[in-house]
Amino acid sequence: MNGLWVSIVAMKMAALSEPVPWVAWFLWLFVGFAGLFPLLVAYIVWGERKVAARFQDRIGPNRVGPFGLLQSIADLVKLLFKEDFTPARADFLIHALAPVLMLISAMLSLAVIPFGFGSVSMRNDPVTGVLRPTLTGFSAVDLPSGVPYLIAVSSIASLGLFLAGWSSRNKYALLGSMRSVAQMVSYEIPQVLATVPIVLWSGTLSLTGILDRQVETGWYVLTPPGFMAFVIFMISSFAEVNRAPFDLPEAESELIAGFHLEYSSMRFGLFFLAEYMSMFAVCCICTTLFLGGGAIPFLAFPRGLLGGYVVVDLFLNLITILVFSLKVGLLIFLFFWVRATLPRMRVDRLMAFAWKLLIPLCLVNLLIAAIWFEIVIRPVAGRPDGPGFLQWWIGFGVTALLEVLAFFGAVWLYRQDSEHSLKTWRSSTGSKPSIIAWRSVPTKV
Amino acid sequence: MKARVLLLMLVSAGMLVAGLWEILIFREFGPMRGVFVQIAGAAVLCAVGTVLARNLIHSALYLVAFFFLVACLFIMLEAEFLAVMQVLVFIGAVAILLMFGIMLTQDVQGDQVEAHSVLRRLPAAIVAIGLFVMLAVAVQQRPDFSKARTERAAPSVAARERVLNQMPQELGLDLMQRWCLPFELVGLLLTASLVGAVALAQPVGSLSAGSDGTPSPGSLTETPEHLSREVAGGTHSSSRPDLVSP
Repeated sequence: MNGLWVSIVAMKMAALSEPVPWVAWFLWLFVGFAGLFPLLVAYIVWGERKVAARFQDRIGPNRVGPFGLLQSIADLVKLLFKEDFTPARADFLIHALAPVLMLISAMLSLAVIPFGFGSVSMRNDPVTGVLRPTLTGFSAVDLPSGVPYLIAVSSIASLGLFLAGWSSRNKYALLGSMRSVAQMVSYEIPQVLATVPIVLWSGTLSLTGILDRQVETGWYVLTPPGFMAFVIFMISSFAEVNRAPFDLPEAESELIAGFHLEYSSMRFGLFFLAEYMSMFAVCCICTTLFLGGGAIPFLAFPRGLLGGYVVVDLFLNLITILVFSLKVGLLIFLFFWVRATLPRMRVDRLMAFAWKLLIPLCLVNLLIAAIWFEIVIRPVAGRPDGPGFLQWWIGFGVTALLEVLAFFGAVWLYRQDSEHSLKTWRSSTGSKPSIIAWRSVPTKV
Repeated sequence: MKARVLLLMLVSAGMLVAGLWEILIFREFGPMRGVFVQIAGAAVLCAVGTVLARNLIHSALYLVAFFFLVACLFIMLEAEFLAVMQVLVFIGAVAILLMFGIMLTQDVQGDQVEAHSVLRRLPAAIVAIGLFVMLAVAVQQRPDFSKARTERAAPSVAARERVLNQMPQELGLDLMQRWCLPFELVGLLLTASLVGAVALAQPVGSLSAGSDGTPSPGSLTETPEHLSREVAGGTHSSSRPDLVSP
């Protein structure tokens, strides 16, 4: 009797989880991308203001609505009613196009993220080719080449940023966009290189596939090379979405506002929306790639469901989406925290940091990730119970040692280099530079 | 101005003929065909815009749109990985580099484009037409092009699914096995150009005048010479005689 009931529910749920395609499309487009995500972004802004206020011993917005909850809505209305101003000599079409490009880039990268676990279906394993139960993922689209897709769409943002600065016909805006393009192009490399170990380990480029692998073998952030990749990915993501301490494109003390100087009204609002949405997107990507998506820590909950009945797709999705948003929320809080704590970096140091520290570290990390793959992942490929206890700890010890060596080696080399340039500078000036003079050196953009 | 309008009309007429040809010869009227004709037409218009635009940035933007539409065509052919790579390489890298190139020239806004003489346009036209003829002949000579589409052997469902879902893997294996030599050669070429770019970007004299025998810190950070010059012009102008480098 019980079995019959379970199978009936299973059939109903299966019918529910595969609705008519256009309904799913409609829901994703109009409820998700046009409704929920912008609203979420509005409250991320509110959260940032509250958190920053706490960090600075203030109260933050508390006038509009309870706890200032309606502040974002009020700001939005204000932005909508302000005068939409375009400079006389600006290139009108491109001026209008640029913020849209940035917003599109952020939205497109949200399209492939598996927010929940979806349901379970039998698929071929990408590594061994064996048919086994895999997660389908609760995402708008499940692209087989999701990771390169993410890189591709996030590179559209730098185009939008450049066009914004260029079309304004303003010296400061142009300077801001030149800086930002240089910055985004530089930090794209460590960001992409940090995802390579993940692709190597999971043997697939699909984000759902990566999530599925992590549910099976454990979160990638818990391995030493995975942790290093996670840290590098987060640092370069800060630079990619132009957040402090890498918010040089809009450095208000030097460039007034940088690339969005000549924007007002809702067009400025679009930039604002794009910035926060790309921050949200980057946190989602990071959660999916490194933090096991919606998997609950220290609990075999989803794995237990995988083998047996998956009656409750809806239930599974609800829980995993909740856990996913919790993890994303923590990462977003990290963004707020860093912004409230760290000062802005200087342009040349920013570049040197990417090219002389992060990229070499990424390359070394890739090698260590290959060692982890050989010790822990490859010997148990295809076995259902995952890596053994001893194997895992041997791999952990070896790679952790190598990671520590790599990290201190890279930092030592980086220090050597910057000391060398300081020394040559001292010898060429013949005097000891005061710290103020060193700081006030005009930098070439 | 007249020449541009003429060229635009020519292109539109050509597209019309091509569309009619598609419909009359292949007799396929499905919705996908309509989408294809629209995308291809827009791509051709963007390509023409790239050539005709007066402003360098506008020209580059037309090129970006063209690349994007080509990616759309790849998606229509179910080559999703190729489409992603098209966007990644051509929009994310090539277009950005183009913009960088324009920014680093004297004319940052890119709106002072002098008209080139016919003598300079002629070789370009010859090369373009030659390339077009070469590609057309190459495509026509493919054995499966001349066959009617229905006669071609359809791949099995399993093989199709494998290739579609694991295109990067198949592509990677092909590159590392069948096309290994060309792949490595291209890698060598890129490395050579990278080294060349680094050599070009070195500040003048820093390659030979490294008196202390250490390599220069590179062009991405400020070089000591550059720094000292900036300081000399700015805050430390009193100590200028010390700054003259030997």
